[in-house]
Amino acid sequence: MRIGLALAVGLLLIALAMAITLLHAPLVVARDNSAVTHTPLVTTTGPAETCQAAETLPSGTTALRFGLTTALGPQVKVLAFSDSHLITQGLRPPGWEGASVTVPVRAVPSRTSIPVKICLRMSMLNGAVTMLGWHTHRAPATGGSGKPLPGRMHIEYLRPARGSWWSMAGATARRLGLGRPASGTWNAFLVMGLAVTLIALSSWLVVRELR
Amino acid sequence: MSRIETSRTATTRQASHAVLMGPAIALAVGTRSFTKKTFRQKDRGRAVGRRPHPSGSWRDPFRRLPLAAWVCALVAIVNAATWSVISPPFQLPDEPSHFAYVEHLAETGHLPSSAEEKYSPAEREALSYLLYGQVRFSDESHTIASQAEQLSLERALAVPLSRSEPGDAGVAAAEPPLYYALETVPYLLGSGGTLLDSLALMRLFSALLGGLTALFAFLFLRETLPGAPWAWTVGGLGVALTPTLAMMSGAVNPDALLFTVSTALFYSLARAFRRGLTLRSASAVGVLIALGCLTKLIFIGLVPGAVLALLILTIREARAHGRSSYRMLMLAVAIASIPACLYLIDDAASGGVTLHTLSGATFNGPHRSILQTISYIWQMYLPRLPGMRPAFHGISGPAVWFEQVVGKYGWLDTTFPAWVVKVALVPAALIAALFVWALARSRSAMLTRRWELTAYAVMSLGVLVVIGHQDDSSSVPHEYLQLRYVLPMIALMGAVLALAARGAGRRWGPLAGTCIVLLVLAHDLFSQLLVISRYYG
Repeated sequence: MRIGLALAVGLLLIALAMAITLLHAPLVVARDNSAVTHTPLVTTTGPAETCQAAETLPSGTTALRFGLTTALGPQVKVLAFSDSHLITQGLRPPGWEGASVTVPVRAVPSRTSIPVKICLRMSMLNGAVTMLGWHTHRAPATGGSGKPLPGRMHIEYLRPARGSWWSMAGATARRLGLGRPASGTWNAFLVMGLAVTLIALSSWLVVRELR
Repeated sequence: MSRIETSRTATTRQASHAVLMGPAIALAVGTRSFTKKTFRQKDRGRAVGRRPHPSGSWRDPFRRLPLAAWVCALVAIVNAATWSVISPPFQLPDEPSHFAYVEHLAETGHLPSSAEEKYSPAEREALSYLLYGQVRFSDESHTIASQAEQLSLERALAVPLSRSEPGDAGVAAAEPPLYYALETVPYLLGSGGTLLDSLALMRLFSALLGGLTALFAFLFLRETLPGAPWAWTVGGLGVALTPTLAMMSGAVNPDALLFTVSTALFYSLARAFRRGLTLRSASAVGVLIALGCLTKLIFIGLVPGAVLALLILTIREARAHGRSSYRMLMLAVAIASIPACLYLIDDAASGGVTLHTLSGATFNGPHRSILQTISYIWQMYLPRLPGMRPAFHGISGPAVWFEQVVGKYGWLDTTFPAWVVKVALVPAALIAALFVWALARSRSAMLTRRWELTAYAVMSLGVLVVIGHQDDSSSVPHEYLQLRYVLPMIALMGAVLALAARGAGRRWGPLAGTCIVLLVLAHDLFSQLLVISRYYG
């Protein structure tokens, strides 16, 4: 009885936590500063700071994403300036990995800011970090430690979507069904069915063996 | 690349086949040995089977396994199958390389000839239309999202492109062939369809191995914690619901078989420690070591500890039954070493991809002194001591591992927000406290089983040292800090969870066990949600 009750309460809490999670809005790209394929611009093994001018910071931005590749990411600090006025800033602690890093920033006020200078400071490096972007001839390049880099770094400006994850459930289910041997939304239902089976089997076993 | 390929003669091909068949036979022998020994056990509590009078059918041994063990295995299979569906094709660690290995082996009967990443035209086409390169490592990029892209993919997959050339298998090329040889079966079963059909079947085969891993973990707990049958379920479900195990068991990756063989090895040793070393159990350990060595190179880390365990068991047996017991040790060592030696001879005769990798990992590192290497490996797992040169900056090795435990999925580019890691410290600390409390309460039992625990500790240490050394030698620092590399010890993780539940005492233990299972279940479900949002959101 006690085990059954604990299990029921636990499952209810999980369901509640999931529902609340899905009520949140996902981060979507409000603006991307390029549409080209990104290539390695520069690689550093020590602390570095680069600033990139002539950027547009959309209103409502809550995170910035940079193309940085490494196995164990450094600390990344981001500052956004309009003239010399600091609009927003954020910090991502070390330990991330992949080919991009998302740095949460203080929400940008309601007005889109143009032009903006975005500064990126990397410290506590745990290996080589490669900055991704695109090579440029005419547009102003990123300035790094007093000298220009061979191109501009890739930046995406993220803000919460208008709808919640719930509102995107249908589209997500459709996408989950693509790129598979037997494509179709039924794949999403299969996942749900498997998850329910997983919960049911585990719960049944817990009640049977631990009561 | 072509030089190595052409050097493979008909003779070496036959040798390859002999090597590949050997483990299959050994697996059959080992399984028989296991099942016969396993099922002679007396019933133990409610969890044990309820058929005391076998009818002599071949199915009897299976009927005698605890139902809970089967359910844990089923949960692990369902979990891995779920992960195999939610993970987009090839968006799991090194899956394109492992797939290429199986593809080349199935199509030509040869092992891969090169560690380059020029895959077959058919695989390259699939990777291209699946946007593999754009999606991997870039959490801003999702998988294909429109019907038009799906139609393009289907058209591309329908073109009969070569699957046999050029024989590259990237990072997988150096790995031993056992897992890949087994995967040729689902590959060929799906070869009437598209490449993605084969991939899906291969992933499901890995999922079955995930089920076996959970089964052996449960049986390991039954041997090591015989006094608390309910705790076996806590540990068994804890293993079955572990998201990283499910992710890797839902992928085409030899890790799936590595986890199974490693967990079976822990089980067979636990069984031998509890019931004594016999000719069959010694053979079983030998077979498992051979299978492990033919599955993935990292398994080598478990071998010294397993040999130590055999040595302890033999000495113990010799005291009771005389020196003839040493024959069992020799038999186990002989069984363990022959297939591995055959494979290395075959590898040397046909280009030496594995030997090159082994020697590269051993000698081509950054040429640190032995003390620097020890310092590096220490810091990978433990806080830095005064006087050590920092190997990590801004984060410690243990912190990186904890983040791995909390969750890094896909190509390890899919993670929870930073606050989740902080919140996760609370349940982790509670489980650790209960575990320590359980150990403190069972001091005397631990003392009597100190040699068994020493053997497990040496096995674990061996794996940790191999990972640390590989990472230290790698040209990309810290790329080996991945949870999957320590999952060969997942049986011990199950034991930690089971002991933590027991740490709550006789009265509250089952309740604590329920909470632990719920916690792991929640971790698994939220991890699945995270992966879905990453790739399809």
